[in-house]
Amino acid sequence: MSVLLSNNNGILVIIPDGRLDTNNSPEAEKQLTDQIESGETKIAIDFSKTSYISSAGLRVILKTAKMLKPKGGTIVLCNANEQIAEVLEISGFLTMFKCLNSLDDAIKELSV
Amino acid sequence: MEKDTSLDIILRLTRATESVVRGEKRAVDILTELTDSTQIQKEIADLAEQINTIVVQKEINEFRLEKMVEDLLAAQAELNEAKHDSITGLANRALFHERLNKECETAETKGSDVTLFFIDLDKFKQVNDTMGHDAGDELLMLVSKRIQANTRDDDIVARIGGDEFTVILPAADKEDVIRVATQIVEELNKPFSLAAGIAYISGSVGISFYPAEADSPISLVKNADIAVYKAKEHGRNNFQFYRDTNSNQIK
Repeated sequence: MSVLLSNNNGILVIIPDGRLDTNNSPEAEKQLTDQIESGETKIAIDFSKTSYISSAGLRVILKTAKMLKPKGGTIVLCNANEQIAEVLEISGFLTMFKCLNSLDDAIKELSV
Repeated sequence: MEKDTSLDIILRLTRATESVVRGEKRAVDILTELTDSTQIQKEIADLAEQINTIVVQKEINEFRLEKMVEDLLAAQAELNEAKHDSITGLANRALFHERLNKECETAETKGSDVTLFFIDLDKFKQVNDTMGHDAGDELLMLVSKRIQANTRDDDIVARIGGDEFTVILPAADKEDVIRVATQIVEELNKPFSLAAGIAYISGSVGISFYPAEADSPISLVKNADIAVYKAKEHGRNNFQFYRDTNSNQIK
C-alpha cells in the first residue's frame, strides 16, 4: 500500500492505495501526523483506490481527527466502496465525519 | 523459533483485551497489531478485528461526546455573555426583565410578593466626564460589588442602563426592604477609591411592590422609576417608596 498525497488550494488530499489495515496503518498514521504538524488542517481522505479498511485504519482516521480538533481542522471522507461504507456506518464514524460521493464534493465541503 | 500455537495466540489476544478493559496505555495499539495479522490463524485474527472494532466504536463515541460537551459549554458561555453586562458581570436589561417576569409569576403562584429597587447613581456623569471613561467603568464595577454585598442571597441585581441598576427582592418583608435600601444608600455615599483618584457619588433608590401596587412586571418597573424621581426631588442620596409619590396619590 502507498499513501498518495496532493495539495489542492490548502486542502490536503490523502489517497490510501490498497488495504488500510494493521500492516500499513502505522505508515499512514506517520504521514498524516507529519502533515498536520507541518500545518495542514483541512484533510480529504479519498478512498477511490482503497479496497479494504479495518478497525486499525479507522483508528488512524480517529487519531487524525483528534490531532486536528485543537487546531480547528476538519476531515472529510469520500469515494468509499461498499465494504468501507459499511465499516464507517457500523463503527459510528458517519456520526462524526461526512462521507461524500466524490473528491470534488469533499473539496467543496472543505472550502466552505 | 517455534511457531505460536493457536492457544498461545488466544492467550495473547486475551491479555491484550484485558489490558484494554483496564484502560492501560498503548493497550489498544497492541490489540490492533493482532488484527489482520497474516502470522496468526485467520479466525483468531477475525476475532481480534471484531474486538478492536468494538473498541473503535467506543473511542468514536467518546470523541463525539467530548465534542458535544464542548459545543454545549461554548453555547452556554455565549448565551451567558449575551445576558450579562460586560463591565460589571451583572444581569443586563434583557435578563433583568426575564428574571422579573419569572419572580412575578412565582409570587403569583405562591401568594408572595416581589419588591423592586430602581437605583440611579447621582453624579456618575461627572465622574465619567472629569475622570474619564475607564474611571467610570471601574466605578460601575465597584458600585455593583457594593450593591451585591448588601443584598440578600436570593436577590437579583442587574445593570439595566448607563448608571441605572435594579434589585429584585423576592418575598422580602418590610424590615428586609428598609434594611437593604438603607445599606445601599449608605454604601453608595461612601467614597470610591479608583485608579484615577477618589470619586464621590450617591444613589437615589425608588421602591415599588408587586402585586400590591402593580398589576404587571412592566408597571412595577414604571412605578419604581417614578419613585426614583421622587428620591431625586428629595435631594438625592435617599430611598423613596412609590406608594408615597404624588402620582400614586392622584390614582
